[in-house]
Amino acid sequence: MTGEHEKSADSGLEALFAEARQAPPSPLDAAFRTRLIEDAARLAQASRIRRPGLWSRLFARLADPQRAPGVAGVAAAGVAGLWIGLSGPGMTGELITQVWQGVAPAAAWSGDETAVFTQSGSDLLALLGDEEP
Amino acid sequence: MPRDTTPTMTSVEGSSDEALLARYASGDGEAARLLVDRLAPRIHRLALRLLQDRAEAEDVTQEALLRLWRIAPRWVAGGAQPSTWLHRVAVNLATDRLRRRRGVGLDTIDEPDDPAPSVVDTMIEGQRLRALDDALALLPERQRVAVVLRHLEGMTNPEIAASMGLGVEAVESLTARGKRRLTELLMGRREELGYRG
Repeated sequence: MTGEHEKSADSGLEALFAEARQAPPSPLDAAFRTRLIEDAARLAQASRIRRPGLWSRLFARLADPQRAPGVAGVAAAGVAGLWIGLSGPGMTGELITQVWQGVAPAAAWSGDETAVFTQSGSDLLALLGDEEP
Repeated sequence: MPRDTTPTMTSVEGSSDEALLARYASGDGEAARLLVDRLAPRIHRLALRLLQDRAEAEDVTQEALLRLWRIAPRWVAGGAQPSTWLHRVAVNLATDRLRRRRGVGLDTIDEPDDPAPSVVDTMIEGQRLRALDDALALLPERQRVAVVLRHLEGMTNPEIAASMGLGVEAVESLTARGKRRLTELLMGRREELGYRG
């Protein structure tokens, strides 16, 4: 092949390549196309069966502190809040009393916590005077 | 009257491949049909050119699409296009098959001189692309793969080298030899193919 012929043949081949790149592919065989679409439907169906619902996934996460420690902490705080709310102010007052009195038994408290705040300032001073030797 | 919220055929057909893949992942079967029609014929043509076997080309196309359906729920938007991803998967599947056919790596066997007769004898008149495919079929396997990936699929030499498990220089050599052989095969029908000079 001479140089001139070679150059011409190359350009012809390049043109043929370009034509082939632009050409649309032939349509698929109908049965094969159907098979491909059925594959997609089958996999989608299998994926839906395997995938649990939103609530199932949420509860699964709540039940697994390793996967969602933050969510587990929030859940624990929620339960604690619920307990405090249900236990009512009486029990809360008792709890405060116990804390304020430290190790002293609750029975040693002669009055209740509300009595402290209903006494006037002079009564309190009188009480302090009574305690002086 | 309740408003129909079902997407119209036109709106779905105008969607990008990526949007269709997301629709498929959320259970839209129509999106899968459209993706098959958009992507599968090109993948099948590529596999057929590489493997020169219709059944194997269908297997590769089917396997590549199965992988696309499986990855659909985890597809990261804004990354590679589904068509590019699928192309890469198909090339790898096809070259793997070629390796298995030989039983060894594509780079371990010398290319024989091809004894096939000129494609001129088997070429259908005036059908240039058919003539090209016929000529490609007559190339030695590695030359054909290199030429198809470089000149018809637009892959770079390093990409082809990675797919074929070869060095870049080997790919360049295979491509050059493949083109020379193609030219020889097509030379006799230059005028018939519409090329003068």
